[in-house]
Amino acid sequence: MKLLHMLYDLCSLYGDYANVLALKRALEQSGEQVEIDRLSAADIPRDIDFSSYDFLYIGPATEKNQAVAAKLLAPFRDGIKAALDGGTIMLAVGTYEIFGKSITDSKGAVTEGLDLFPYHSVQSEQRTVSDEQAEFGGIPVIGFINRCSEIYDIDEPFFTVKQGVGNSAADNTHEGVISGNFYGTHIIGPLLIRNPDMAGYFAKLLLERQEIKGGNYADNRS
Amino acid sequence: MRMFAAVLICRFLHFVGGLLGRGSSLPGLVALKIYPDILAHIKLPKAVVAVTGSNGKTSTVEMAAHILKAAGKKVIFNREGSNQIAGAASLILSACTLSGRVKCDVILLETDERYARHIFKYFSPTHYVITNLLRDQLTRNGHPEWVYNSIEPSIPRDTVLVLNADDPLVSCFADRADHTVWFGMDKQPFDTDKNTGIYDDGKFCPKCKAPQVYDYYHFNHIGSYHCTACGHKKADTDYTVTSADLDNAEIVINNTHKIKLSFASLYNVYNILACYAICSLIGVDEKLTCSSINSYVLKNGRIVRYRCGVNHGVFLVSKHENSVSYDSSLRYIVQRGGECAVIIIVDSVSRRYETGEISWLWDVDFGILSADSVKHIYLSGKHADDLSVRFSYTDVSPEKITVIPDIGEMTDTVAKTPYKMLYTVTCFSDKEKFLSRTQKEED
Repeated sequence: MKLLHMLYDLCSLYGDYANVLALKRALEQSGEQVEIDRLSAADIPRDIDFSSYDFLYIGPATEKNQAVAAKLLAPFRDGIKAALDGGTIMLAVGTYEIFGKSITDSKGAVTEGLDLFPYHSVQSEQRTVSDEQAEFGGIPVIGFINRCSEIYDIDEPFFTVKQGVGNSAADNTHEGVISGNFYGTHIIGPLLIRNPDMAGYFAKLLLERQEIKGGNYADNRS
Repeated sequence: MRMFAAVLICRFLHFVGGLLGRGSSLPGLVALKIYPDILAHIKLPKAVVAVTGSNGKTSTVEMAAHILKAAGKKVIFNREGSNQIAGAASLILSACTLSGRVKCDVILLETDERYARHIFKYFSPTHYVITNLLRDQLTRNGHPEWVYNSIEPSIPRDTVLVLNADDPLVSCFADRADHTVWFGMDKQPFDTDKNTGIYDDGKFCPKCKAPQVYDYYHFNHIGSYHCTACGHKKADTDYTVTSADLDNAEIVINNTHKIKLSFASLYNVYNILACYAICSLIGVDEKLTCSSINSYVLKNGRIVRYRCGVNHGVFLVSKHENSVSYDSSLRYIVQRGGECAVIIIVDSVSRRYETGEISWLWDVDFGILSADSVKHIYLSGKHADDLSVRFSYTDVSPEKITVIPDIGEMTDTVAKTPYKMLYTVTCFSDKEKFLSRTQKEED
């Protein structure tokens, strides 16, 4: 199983690198061999093949670094989309904003997103800070939110908020986004460490995906 | 008339607060209600020194106050916890004549990173010291760049900035004022050529975000750097630790002035350096500054010796939600080298607010404790289990770890088990929960 920690050095806040370690451990406990590649923002190979990974992860960043990440990843938009369409699972914490349409900063300047999804975010000079209790598909989740943006036009949210804040001041019942194989959230803590059942959820998704892949492989041979 | 009333009431409340043993921001708060922009109409002394940054504010201000007093200056300074606008107003107005003139030679003002802009809307500090910008209390601070953006508008053009040249983010402030004085440390034997922490906040240039290259790191992202694209780099320093010998607890400033350290940590070295710069800029003779620092013992309780049952211990006050502070304590323990056991307590994450935010545990390099000299580790407090999970992702052998969430029970266990030395690492917020169960020992 291959995991890619994208822009691990640029998008690195709140100890969220540990999400990748938690997932690795959950997979290893299921008997999988796991390899983690780390992609540096200082050196992105032009020919990087996102589809060769089972799982993509990107962590939270400062607002300035997030804007840099959007620019750095823009040339790889189609490669990331192809990977997601092909069954690669992705978790983005915080920086999931860059995969939407745009990010407007507190002074009104707009950073284009990768436009994979229809949401957009608007930053302000106030931070939204809150302990968080939420739920996803019967899995209770705890964590913390620390962001300066409101996110609008999310079709399908990731979490139902039990206590805490949602995607915007106008919607405090839904947090994060799901679109196909893409999962985005602002819950830090780190999410998969504090919530082993969430790590288990992603591990299960990956194991099921591998079984299907294995099945296809067998089909192709026959 | 409003001035007269506001100052009178502030002084009265300050006096009453003193009788009750309470220093606080309340007198300033009341004065500001009576006369909101009173601070713009005060006649300030010739030197008003502001000190802000993530770490070292309180220590630097207290040390500088000690030296300036020894040099015969009349000094007023605020205590930690009263570093927002009401605290500053309390300090200044309580030392005012009824006509609004501050009766001192120097004001030393520790200012909260996020509130400085509200204070310096009304008056300008003559000198503005910024110590460092590190990951600290991210729950309320967001991240260091967010703090940078909060401090930036508080810097008046005509102030003399006194900046830590070794911090690439702090160095960016130089663009804000006409005059900058730099302090920093030359290359030392203990430096590393790679960042050894869990995260690397110096990897990219804070100005243009191109990769940065370091000649050496002192700790975290503090060291000698240059940007590969825009030319941002460590400035030449005016006040320099030219040699730092932590084993013998001795530093040399500007190749001439030797100072003994009461506590051999890099933090303390930077605090002393910032303090030396302040005193020199205010005109204190440098020899006098050095002799005052040499006689100054850190009285802020960050190091306490204790006895716990059969064991002698050292209590290292660290800061929760501040990975650099933890790393520094853990490194101190391992650098001492002797066989020891280590107690880590995380019970109340913050002194100021209720939170279960523990992501900062993942920024702390607990793997430092895999050193052979560390024979056992006790994890305690409400977050003992979170600590235990954190340790399970380090190289520290699980046999070395005992988890006892109840602090009393943990202390009883440790008291009965002989170790050559004990170290306790925790925050102010949890300090007494442990120390009240031990006996204090003199140095």
